[in-house]
Amino acid sequence: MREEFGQNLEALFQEESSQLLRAMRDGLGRLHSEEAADPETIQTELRRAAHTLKGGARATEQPEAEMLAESLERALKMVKPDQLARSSSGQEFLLQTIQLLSDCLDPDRRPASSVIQSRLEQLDQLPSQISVPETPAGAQSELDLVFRGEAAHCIQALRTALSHWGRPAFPAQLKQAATAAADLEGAARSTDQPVLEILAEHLKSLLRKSLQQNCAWSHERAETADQVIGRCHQIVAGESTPSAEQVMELLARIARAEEQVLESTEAVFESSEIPSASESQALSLVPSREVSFETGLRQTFKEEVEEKLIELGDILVALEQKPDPNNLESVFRHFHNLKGAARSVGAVAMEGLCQSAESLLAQVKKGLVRLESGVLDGLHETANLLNALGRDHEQPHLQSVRKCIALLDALAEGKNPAPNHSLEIPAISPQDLSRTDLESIRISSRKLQKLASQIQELLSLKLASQQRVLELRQINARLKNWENEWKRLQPRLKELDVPAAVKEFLNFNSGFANELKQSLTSLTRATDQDRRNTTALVDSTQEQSKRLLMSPFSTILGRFPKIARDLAQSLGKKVEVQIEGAELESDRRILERLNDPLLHLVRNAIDHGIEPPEQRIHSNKPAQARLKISVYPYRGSQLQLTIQDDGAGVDLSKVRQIAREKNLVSPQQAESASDQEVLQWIFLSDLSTRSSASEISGRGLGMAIVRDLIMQLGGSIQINSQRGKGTSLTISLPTTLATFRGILVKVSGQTFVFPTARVHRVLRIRPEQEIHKLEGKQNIFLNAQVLPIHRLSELLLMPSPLNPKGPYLTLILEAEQRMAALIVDEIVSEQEVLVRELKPPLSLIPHLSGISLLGTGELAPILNVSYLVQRQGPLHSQLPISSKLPKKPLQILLVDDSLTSRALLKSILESAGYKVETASDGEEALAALSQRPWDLVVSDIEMPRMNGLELTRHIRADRKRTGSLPVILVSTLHSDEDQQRGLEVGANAYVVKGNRAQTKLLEAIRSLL
Amino acid sequence: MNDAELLRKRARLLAEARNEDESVKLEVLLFALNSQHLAVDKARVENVLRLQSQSLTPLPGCPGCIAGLINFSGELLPLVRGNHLLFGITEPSRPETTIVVLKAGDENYGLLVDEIVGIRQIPCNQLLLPSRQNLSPWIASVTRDDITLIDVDALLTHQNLGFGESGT
Repeated sequence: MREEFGQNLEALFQEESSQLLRAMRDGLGRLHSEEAADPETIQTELRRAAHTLKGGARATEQPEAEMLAESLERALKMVKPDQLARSSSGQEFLLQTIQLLSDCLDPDRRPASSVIQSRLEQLDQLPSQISVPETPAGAQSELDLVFRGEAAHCIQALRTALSHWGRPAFPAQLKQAATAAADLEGAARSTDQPVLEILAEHLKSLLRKSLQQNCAWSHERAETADQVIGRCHQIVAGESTPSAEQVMELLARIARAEEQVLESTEAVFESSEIPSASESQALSLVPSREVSFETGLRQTFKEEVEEKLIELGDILVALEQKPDPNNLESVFRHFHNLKGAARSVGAVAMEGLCQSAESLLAQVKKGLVRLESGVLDGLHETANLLNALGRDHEQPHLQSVRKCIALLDALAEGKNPAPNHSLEIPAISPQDLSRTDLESIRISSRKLQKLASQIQELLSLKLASQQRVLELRQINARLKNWENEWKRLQPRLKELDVPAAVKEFLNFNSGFANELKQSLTSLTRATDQDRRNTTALVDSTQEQSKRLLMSPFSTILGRFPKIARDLAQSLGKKVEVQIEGAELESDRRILERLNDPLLHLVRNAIDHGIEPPEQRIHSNKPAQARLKISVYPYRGSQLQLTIQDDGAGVDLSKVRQIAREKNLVSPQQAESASDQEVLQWIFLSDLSTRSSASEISGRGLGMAIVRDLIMQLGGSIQINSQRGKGTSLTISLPTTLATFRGILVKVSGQTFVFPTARVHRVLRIRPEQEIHKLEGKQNIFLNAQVLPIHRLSELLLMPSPLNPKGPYLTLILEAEQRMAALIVDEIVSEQEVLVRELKPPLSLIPHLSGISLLGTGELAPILNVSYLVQRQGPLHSQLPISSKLPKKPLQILLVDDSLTSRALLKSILESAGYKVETASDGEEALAALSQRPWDLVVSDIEMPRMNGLELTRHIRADRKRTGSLPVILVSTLHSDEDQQRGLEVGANAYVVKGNRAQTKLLEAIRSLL
Repeated sequence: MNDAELLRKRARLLAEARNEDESVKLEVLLFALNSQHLAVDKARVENVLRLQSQSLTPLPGCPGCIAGLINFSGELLPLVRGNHLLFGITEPSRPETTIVVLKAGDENYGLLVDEIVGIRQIPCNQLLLPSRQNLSPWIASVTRDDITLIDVDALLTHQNLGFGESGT
């Protein structure tokens, strides 16, 4: 769904950006045609369009377009409108820039980073360039400026297409290079530069011939091209003009290279060197049917990379802990295999990275480079970057790839460069972490689950056949009763004076009934046999299907060592992860849903629990902390999973203090609660002992949600912690979700199911003798324990009159080492029940853990015992279903002129549960504000008609109606002055669009509402 | 509105529809709730069922507009009380007995309605877009003859169904 939204957003931005680009071209056209009565207005429109494009590019994560739009906006701010109106070359330059921006937004025409880089530099010089007075010499200099811009663009494009980290170019790159050479030739011709023209023309010819001959781009040809490009660069930069001899020599080299191409019998492009999707489109050499093959190939490649990188992560961690030759060899092999795979789909950046990592490892293997932390960090960073490359387009990461290759190459030469913080290795996003390799199986897990759930449906067949046999036996029993009665009456019938015809009829009936009885008996016997066969078949099929759905815990735990290592390193901590029992199996659905809670708990342990190395040493602990995740069987069909750290433990005094400050407990409770009770408050929804959410665990779920997710699986979670020694969390889980033994009870005529495993005992309670009131609450005494007793009907808000004298049928329930007594109207039976999961939104009902399908076809809700027992505790005396009842959502007015930003922000706010309406500028917002009350306004700053600052001023000015309405300004303007201006006009908060804007905005809203 | 009036209105609507056959049309299922005519795009209707009260399993403690669950051909179908959800009427004059099975997102929901009026073709050019300011977000459009076309996705959100805290 998230992916779909991203696509929608991109589509929206594509539409918006093409309109904006068109408007910018029109604006420049008007400026040029001298119709422009007011160049200043046109320039403001241009600037605003650039600003909106910048925002949209940021929202859709297109960093290069964003940078370009930002520079364009800045240049348009600096240039004087009348000068721009007079400078046709300046306008031409801007038109080219708009075209470049348009190319940036088109995946098929995306220019090389270097082209963009050079354009960014030129944009910065634009204001000083066009402020030159308009003289013939100035006009010449302007033409020169345009030429230089274009020529530099072509040269960069040539270099980028042909360099590719020293490896042979693919046809698509040759094609791009040929186009760039042709452009350079044209530019040279139009500015009358014959030397440049002839060099470009010959280079173009060489490239085209290589393409036509389908000939690989040899090392020699690459060198020749390099020399020609170098010369061209010197001419364009005005550094030197080559002599006639030098030009002739170069042309001769090109001619020789061309001859070689024509005679070439050397390796043609191999079929394995399949160009990427965009390349095949550019080339038009690959028939369209191969595109789908290629898509399939890429998908397979993506899966392979994902699998290999998970393994690589594990081995790298192992290598770090134990630098033995086997691990080293394995890491080397992984990079080598990844390189091969990358080459096969033309993923050049990935191939380049793997090549450099491989070279570094070769040096390590030879003993020329020591396996030190710098080398290991470099390899980890490479793995992270490969992960990002496997996920996204290569384009946004090229800068990082170059830096990473430079780093690896330096390491291979035995240099130990300073930690390169500018290396923008993308952080592991929560989405990456929450992906499990469960997805990597070759059968869609959805299909598998569907099949398994259909097999589970067979249980209803088994239960139904049992029911039929039962019904037949009941009929048999009734017939038997009739027979007995008939036998008892027969002697008396003989004594009566009954007409012969009637006697005959009665005898006939008796005989008929006997026949029926015999038929019924044999039918019952046959049906019972069928039942036995069905039961055996269903049981074995179900057993098999359960195995179909079982996966080992290693499928989700396997990636934790690397996750933990990366997280710890980002926090300057050291941690070693031990995993035990990863081979134990559980239902895949349980594993999938366990992934997020586990991730949160591990993050929590590293972020909050484990201390920094110096603090650990100070406390006489080893600098490297230990995090142990163990899985072990528990009580038959259950499993327990513990996450144990040797960190600082939970600060109970802080928990006590915060719970009191936030009014989560009464002052008396805060005083009197035992340490064990206080520890349980960790699971309260509003409790966090950190004053601000951190980068690591701030993105997490919260312990309350972790507990809810585990409870939804029918499991439970417990915490133990010792200050200074560490924290341990124990999660109990069922191994399967499909069936279990349940106790069927009735309340107000409706059947409910309790899992038998959770029912400790069943008692008959006499209220007068056995129910005791303590502090206004009802309790019973059981084995020296005081247990709270409730009526299930009251908890479920169902009417159910109860005989005050009793006795009451009572279930003693047990969960998470707590017990409670629940009174029910009737206990029906104990039997195996089929569990059907509830789908959202019904799965959100906390006191239900599923629905069971009974043999009679009736549905019976399965009650979540953990929830019911927990909610009887002192902190929540009533069933919290009231808190799940809908609250009126808070109303937010979102003001932004960019369609893309609006859609993005709206989605973010709506996902957080707010009701959002939008306005496209300040004036529209004021109209909406006058219609009805709102809870908060989120507004962009730069907007037509009325901007965000003016809007805020208006809101504050109407003291009576909107004076105290919270306003949050969201903008790409990020200087201190901008923020100051925003706060001066009365905004309550200022959020800069970009990194973590989503979190910051939601935090700001929460703090204001 | 009694049955005769309803039938007359239906006939009138169907007659009008025939006059518009040159334009592009949307096929809708028309039903009545709280004496109003409402419509949903027929493409979103999976089925129409009659509720057998004994087959309904109530889910105690659920938000009020959820009547409970039925087992429909092996699928657990949540039933949503239309009068409650759309008009806030918790005790309608007579209980709804007709289920319109609608697809919203990946899930099916049974919307309990007073009765089905019929299938109708509405020319798309007759669908008027309401002003967003004053109307509920689930109203996709209205027609001149007072039929309200429902946006199924905007209506059957988790939030509207009373599960607001956990998002849609």
